Amino acid sequence: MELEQLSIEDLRKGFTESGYISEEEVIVTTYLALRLGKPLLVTGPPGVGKTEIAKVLSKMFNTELIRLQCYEGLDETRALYEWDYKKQLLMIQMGKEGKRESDLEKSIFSKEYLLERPLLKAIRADKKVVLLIDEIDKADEEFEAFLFEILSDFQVSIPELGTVSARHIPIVILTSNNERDLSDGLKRRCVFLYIDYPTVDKEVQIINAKVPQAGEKLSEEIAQAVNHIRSHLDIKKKPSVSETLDWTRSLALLNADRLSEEVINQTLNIIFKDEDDLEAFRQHLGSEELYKVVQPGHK
Amino acid sequence: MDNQVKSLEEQRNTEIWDLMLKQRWARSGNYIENNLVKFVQVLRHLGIRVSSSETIDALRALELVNINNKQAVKTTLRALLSKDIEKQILFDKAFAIFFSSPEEKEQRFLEGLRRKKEQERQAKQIEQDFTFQRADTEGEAAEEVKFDLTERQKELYTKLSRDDQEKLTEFVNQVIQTHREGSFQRKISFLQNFIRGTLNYWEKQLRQNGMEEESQVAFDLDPTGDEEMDQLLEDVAEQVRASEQALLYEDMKTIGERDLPKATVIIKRLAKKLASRISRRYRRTKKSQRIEMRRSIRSNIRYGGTMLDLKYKIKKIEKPKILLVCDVSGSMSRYASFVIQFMYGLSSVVKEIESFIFSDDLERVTPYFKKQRPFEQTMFTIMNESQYWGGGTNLNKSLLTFMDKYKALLTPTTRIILVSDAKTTKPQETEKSLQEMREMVKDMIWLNTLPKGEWGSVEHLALFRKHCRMFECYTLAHLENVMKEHFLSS
Repeated sequence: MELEQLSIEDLRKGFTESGYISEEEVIVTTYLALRLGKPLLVTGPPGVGKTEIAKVLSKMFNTELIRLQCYEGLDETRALYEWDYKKQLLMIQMGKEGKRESDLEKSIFSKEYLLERPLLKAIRADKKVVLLIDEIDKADEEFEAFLFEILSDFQVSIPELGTVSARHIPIVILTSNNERDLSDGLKRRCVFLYIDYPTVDKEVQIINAKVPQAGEKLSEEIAQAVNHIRSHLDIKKKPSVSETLDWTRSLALLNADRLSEEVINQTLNIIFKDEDDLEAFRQHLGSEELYKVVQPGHK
Repeated sequence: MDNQVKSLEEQRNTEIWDLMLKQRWARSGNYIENNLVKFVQVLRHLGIRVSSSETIDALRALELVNINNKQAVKTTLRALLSKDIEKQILFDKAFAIFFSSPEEKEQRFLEGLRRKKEQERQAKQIEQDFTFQRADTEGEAAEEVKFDLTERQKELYTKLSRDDQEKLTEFVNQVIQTHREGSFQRKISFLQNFIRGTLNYWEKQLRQNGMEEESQVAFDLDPTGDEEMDQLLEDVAEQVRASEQALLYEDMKTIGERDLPKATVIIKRLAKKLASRISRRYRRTKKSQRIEMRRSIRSNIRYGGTMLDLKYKIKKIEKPKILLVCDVSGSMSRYASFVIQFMYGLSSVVKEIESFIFSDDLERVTPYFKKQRPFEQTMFTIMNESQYWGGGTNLNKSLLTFMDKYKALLTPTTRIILVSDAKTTKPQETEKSLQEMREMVKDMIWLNTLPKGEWGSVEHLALFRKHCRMFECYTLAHLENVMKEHFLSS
């Protein structure tokens, strides 16, 4: 698929074909980012399919997905490039007698000794790639500043080698769990998308697409139950879509065609990964109540 | 230097703007451009930061979608103009109002007009009700006596039944007409107190009966002078007040019992976010590192003594100490409980929190929090057990007590947070205590629950502000903002 001729319909079709079920808003916003050639900044709670967008796009455009996972303390040497010091030192020790110093210096600061990290890899790629910068909110603020410099002109200067410019501007997707506010500078350069937990209807569609073996009734009840838990319980980690799917799969394995108090009890640890959350569920909601909630006619 | 940067930025902005004018507005039919620029202005007034380059991006983006599809336009503008999830609600409301149909616009205009007329009518009525003709001893109308009510009092007064209103004004009238003992001036001040007292009584009554559901939302926007824009902003503010997230902008004092759980959730969320921000700052050890030779040599023996793997000394990290001093007199207690709750949400990233409450005098409440009980229960116990909860205000005495008994808690790493509306007796003495405290600690922040607009009317505030950083703080949004922008920022 060619990016320049891309229409909203193409994108919608591509998303559906990859099994990515989403609200119209996600499609329109992604489309805008692609057409404007700007990075797409996706925020929202964990497990709503932020990272998935990058994967789907790389599949759609049939191109490589380069991923930069952010964490505290991430810096240029891990994100952009680093000289392979160990190899260089070895070279120096080996060549101590023979070579002239200036030749030695030239040879150890050549491409052979360069460790390419994700950002440089994306810039030097022969083809337009998808660059996923995951959980940018985990990186430090300094790194963020460095990053948006790269994102604005897609060129890096390596003192020993000169300036490297991107042959193809990559498709950039940034994700954030909103653990801290991102800087205005970064936000200004991006197209912004917030993805919330899916509605009950959407979640039923997702379940049907990913776990077709689950019956219609079961999918509906599960979607409703999960939705209820998310909106009514004050817990540390709300069940994500992937947990919904895990839950559905295990219920399907148990041959359950409907939810019941008993099967809910048996499978609680799939939805609640945190001991305190499980306790909160038992205290404030309980399997019996949850079972009632998903029954037809319940308000 | 700063000025230079600023002027450069300004110049750049004007350049962008000029370019935009040339490129876009030169064409005929600049309907979309005009509307977009106006909408951006509305957003900026609502506190959403939108840069010129983002505006241009939005314009480019609008060319890519079907602008007859309102939902698509909304998605587009949101993706390019509103990038702060906390402020999404403001964007949504502003969009709904700005891009509403002509019929809706007219409807709103008429509604606004009606509201204004109604307000004027009520204001007139109140003025009439509280203007009395004082007859002299012969029974001739001799003098006009007028009482000025505050906005809040006026609001309460209009909520009373006509019957209760008349009872109040009738009584005032009777007192004015009697000509016996006492000076007239004293009588007037007695009546002012009486009116205030009565209305306060009604406020409590109304709240208890659940009549005072609609609470005051402190989401006020400064007028721009452009009538159309002002009307629009007023409508948006109105909508925000009526919405769920309004709690964030609501005067904490007026958050009703029913909304407390919701407020608790918001406080927890805000505190958690701030805590992760602070912890990040205090965990960072990369700066000003020093190499630790012994560990480095040991670890590099395997590389034949070439220093490939350096080990660093880890800088000891000092977590801040917080000292909370909260006014819990009368109406202040609600603010105090929110602020305390917020601060304890930060407990994972601070070394220790010492909490004090004061009204007539000061009491240390830290021990209550050490019992590992849920926060709500702890607060409840304090409210019940403390003799000072809900008393009068004597900041001076409270500070003296503090300096007398707890001076040892003041260290160069302590940061004091004071929560009070600063209404106190003996301001000069209070100032001295404040100064003394300030000199012994790292920072002192005063969260003033009095709206900034009223600061001018409290003379001694200027005295207090010499010794601390004072911020307006009567909504959860204020609280978050102060903590985020100013606390621990130095």
